[in-house]
Amino acid sequence: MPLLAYLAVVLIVPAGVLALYSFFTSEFFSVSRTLTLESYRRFLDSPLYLELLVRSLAIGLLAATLLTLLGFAVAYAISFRLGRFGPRVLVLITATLLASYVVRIYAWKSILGTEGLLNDALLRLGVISEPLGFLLYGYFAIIVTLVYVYLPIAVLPIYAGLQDIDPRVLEASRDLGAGPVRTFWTVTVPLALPAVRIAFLFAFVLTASDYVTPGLVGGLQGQMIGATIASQFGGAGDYPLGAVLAIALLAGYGVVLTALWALMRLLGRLAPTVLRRVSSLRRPPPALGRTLRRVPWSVIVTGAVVIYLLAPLAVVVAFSFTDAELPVLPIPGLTAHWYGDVLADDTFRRVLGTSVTVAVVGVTGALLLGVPAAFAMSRRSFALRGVVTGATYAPLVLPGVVVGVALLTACTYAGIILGARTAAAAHVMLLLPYVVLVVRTRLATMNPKVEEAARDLGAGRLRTARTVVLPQIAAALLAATILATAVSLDELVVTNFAIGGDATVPVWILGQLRQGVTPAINAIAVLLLVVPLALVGLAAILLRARGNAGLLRSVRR
Amino acid sequence: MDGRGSWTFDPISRRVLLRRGGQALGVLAGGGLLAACGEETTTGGATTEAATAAGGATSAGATSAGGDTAATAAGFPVPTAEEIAAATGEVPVLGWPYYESKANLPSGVTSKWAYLTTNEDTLSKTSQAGQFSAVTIYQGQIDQLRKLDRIIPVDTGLLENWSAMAPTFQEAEVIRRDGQVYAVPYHWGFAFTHYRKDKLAKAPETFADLQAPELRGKVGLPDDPYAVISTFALFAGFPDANNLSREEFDATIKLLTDFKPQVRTVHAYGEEAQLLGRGDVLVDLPSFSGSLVAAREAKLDTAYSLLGAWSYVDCWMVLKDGPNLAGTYAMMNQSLSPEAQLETTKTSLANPVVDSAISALPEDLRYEDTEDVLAKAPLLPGVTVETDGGEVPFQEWLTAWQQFKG
Repeated sequence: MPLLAYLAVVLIVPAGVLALYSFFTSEFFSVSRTLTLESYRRFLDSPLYLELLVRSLAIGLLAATLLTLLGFAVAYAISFRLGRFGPRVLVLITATLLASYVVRIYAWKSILGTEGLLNDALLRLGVISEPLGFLLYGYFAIIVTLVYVYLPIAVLPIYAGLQDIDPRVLEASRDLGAGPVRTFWTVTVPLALPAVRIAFLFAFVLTASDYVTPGLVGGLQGQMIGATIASQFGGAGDYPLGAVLAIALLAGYGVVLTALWALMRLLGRLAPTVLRRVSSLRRPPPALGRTLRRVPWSVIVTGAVVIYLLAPLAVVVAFSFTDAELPVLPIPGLTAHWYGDVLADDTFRRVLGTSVTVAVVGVTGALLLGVPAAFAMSRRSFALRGVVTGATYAPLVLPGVVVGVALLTACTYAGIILGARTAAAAHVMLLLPYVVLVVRTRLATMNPKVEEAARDLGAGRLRTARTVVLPQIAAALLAATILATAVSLDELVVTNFAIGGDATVPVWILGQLRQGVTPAINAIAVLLLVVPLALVGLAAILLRARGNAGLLRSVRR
Repeated sequence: MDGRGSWTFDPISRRVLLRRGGQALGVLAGGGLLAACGEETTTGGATTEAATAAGGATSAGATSAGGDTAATAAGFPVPTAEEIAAATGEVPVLGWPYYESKANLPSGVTSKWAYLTTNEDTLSKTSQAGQFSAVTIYQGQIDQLRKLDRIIPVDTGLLENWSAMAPTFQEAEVIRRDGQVYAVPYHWGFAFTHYRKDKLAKAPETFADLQAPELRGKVGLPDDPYAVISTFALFAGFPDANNLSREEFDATIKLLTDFKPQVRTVHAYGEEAQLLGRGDVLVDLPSFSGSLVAAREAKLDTAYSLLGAWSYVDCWMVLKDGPNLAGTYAMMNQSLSPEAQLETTKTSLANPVVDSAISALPEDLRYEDTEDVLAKAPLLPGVTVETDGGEVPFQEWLTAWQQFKG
């Protein structure tokens, strides 16, 4: 209930106000509140808006498809192929979210540019005779960077879904004579499908509404509907049209996802027939079949993905140590003075303080609301469960610019002065879906009978929570905290609307970028990556030490 | 599990909670929606009532030391000279990070900055009255902020250092509306055509040079409709590049659209040196001093020509109902001192409005005579937002720019 009330205040009411705006008209911020469909008519009459909408949805669809395929391969390898290295690879992939994403996107430009690292390598290898122009500033770069930015977010739900698969089911399939390929297609994939759908949904919505990344690398193809929505709430001063465009984007999601759902149903009906026919086809020669089966495809894909995710980070780290004034190649010499400069900068320390405050409040709030919500959603059936679940995940589905503008409008009406507090409140809402998702995933694999046994043995609620539940979900809480912290420290679009008279690091960095990306900004990105990771590593060591100590005590007893 | 589970809610109290929560939500939502259904208003809570000071020391009709006292005469809030001299406390500022400097702060006055990420942020971030005292933005936004009733005129007679400013800025029409000064010049710059000298056989001196086949897909434009359309208006032969009639505007947009095959990318400001350095583009326009300095630092062989050149001036604008008006005047005044201008010129790389600080510019950006530069790169006034005049308003510039990019 507190969750629903909170979401109502920070999300549902502002979204309602925004929806109402779509029925108004405006002339440069001056809104006429006579109800009319005029803004809808303007949207439908403009080929530009429709084209941008279709372009955004198409890019989202393509990126989400790639993200889901790659995400599945990586999550599968982590779950079933990499053994004890699996969790480490997962942490590595998730950790890439920590470094400022704007800076990482700029690093991609150094890789994909005309005289960038990739063209340079291909030229040196003699693969090409002149630089490839299509790598940067076009659809190729948009897809490459969107997949790059959102891959960790696609991997997580699929990984969570694969964790839910009972290994005994896979064993049973083998015992019944199915080979690894058949077990994969007929057992693993169907069981993972719900998680795959969630991953696709997240990936599609996030990539279709992202306008910062395509704007940075897409050149003239980089204009997305999200940028046009933002423009209506900015320089154009046309809130009603902006609201209509936001609603059109949501409707576009609905159309695409409904079409996909229908397609999946059709494929589901056809699948048994197709599988039978495929099975009846002549099999490849046994030697080739065995060779193909022996190739660890998912491990190879995971290795490539890790390189893909780490390459821009390597560029960022290298640029943070350059002794040139600009992060350009080749790097003439090395220095660490950029780190000293950054740490000595009063303004950086101030905005970092605000970022940390917002993140601490946001993550704490999201944990306080999200963990009980995850328990309620997983363990209880109650009235409004669907509403609560939908509202919890809504911040992921709604474009950031819509959430930001809705908050700005609602706060202005309510006379709430924007600042770090409102940004923190917004972050609680934005981080909730991540916390709920991770904790629910863990709860799904926990046996409730253990808690029941503890209660039967006389443990009270608190003791059961402390000694039975908490140890089991500690790792999930840590994972949720890392993910939520990463998202909070890097959040830009909503924060820029909600931060008012304060500033966080990403807002400050974006302002700084007007004078160019400097090695100092790369140093900031590295610090944002390394410091939280070091803290998390320390926490993990402490948790493990505590766990070992507990185990030791139990043995002694 | 039985009903004693730790996570079970009592069904009766839940219903009560739901009902009460629903009532509270209804009140909240109803209030919000009712508020939204009121009469015509300006988004963001700005009203069109007469200006009244909400904070800080103000005294309408205060005496001033000279200069433009129209603001005082018109009854807008202004502090007295004594209040400015004794000003203390914090001044909340919205602006570009590179303009933030302790050199702008007189003794006893502090500032707290929030940052712009785009020019348009000025409009959304100043929507809450009383949040900021001043904003640093180019003169072209005077009309937009006036239209929204967000800024008030400044009594320049209260700024002792006003006279230290180059006369051309003191007298500039672009900072005035209805005879009142709405923007205090702080730093200025001029737009130029920036190109890779080592890769081009000939410097681009005419628009035809930019259309050369070897520059196909090799030109970069900043993602700034004001800058790009103004530049192309000049290319199209309209010197009054911000005040375009319908025909002039259409001709300008056609020229820009026809130029599209030459364009490799529309980029964020600050990327120019890297774009040129990576060879992604060979020409970038309009470009500004920061990109030239960055190119020098990257040891790129670039140069600039005054093809399509025009100037802007970043100004302090005083926000209506902002706190600490006396402190705001004191800060603006301090920022015009030669010492502060020297310091902020170094950090911002933008030209100072006080000529004695020109020496703080990198050597190849220094100039002898401000007037001479402004003659070659005229200061533009900004684009109207009024839809009932003969000139195309800025809203249409934005739409045209989206169409160009889309």
